Amino acid sequence: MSDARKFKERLAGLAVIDWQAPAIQPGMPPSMSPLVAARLISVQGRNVGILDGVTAEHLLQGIESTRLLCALNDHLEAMLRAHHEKNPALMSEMFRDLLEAGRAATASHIEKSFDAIDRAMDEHEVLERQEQTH
Amino acid sequence: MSAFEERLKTFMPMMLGAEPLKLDANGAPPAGMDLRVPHLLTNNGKPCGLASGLVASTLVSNMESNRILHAVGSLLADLVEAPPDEIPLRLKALIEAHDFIVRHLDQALTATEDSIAQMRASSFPHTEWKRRTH
Repeated sequence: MSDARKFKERLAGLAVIDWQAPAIQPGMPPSMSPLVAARLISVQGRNVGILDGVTAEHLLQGIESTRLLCALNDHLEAMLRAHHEKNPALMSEMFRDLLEAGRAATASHIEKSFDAIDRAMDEHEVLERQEQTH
Repeated sequence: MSAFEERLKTFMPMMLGAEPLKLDANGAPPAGMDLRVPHLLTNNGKPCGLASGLVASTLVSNMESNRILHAVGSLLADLVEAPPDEIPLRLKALIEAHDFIVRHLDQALTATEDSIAQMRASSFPHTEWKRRTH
């Protein structure tokens, strides 16, 4: 079994982690100092964490990055296989696909994740400033 | 050090820390949370969240995915813009990246799998707290 296929199976095995969009947490845990723009993180309906807005965004974007890395790894492995099997036509087709689809997906995700993290950081700054003026 | 690792070094990781959380004197977790194997998360030493071991380990490994994906995206962008005579060299860097990605994905998935097993094996803190205080 190839590494890529193993990763796919392992990702499927982690389907227990059904990340939901974090919801605004109405109250702070008593043992913590207030977190800026706090988000409640839930897995399959259970509240498993409370993170500040920026960290929550890093978590969500990072999960998508891992999925994308698994896909890129899968593609690279198939490309290398074509190379070892001396199949230049397939290798070149996969290379083209990597440069077009792979690069587009990666660039789009990176842009979206930077935007999302920037938005979270802006919100963080605004809320922190409001906190200071009160 | 490979070309990919050189490039990866230019993408600085966020200084994210996760350490086991000290519960209060009664061993009570914050109300309404399912914090098995609780961790206090810090960013540059400042608390940025409170989460179960699963969230903490997923966050740390996925943030590394983010960094690696940015480096891969940068390699792919260079490949698209490279003159034909430079393509073999850039392709070599991408193949080196493949080994790096495989190692990272294995570590990241193993960390998440271990955390799930640890969560399943540990008692729910609220139950443990009730047992000790009632």
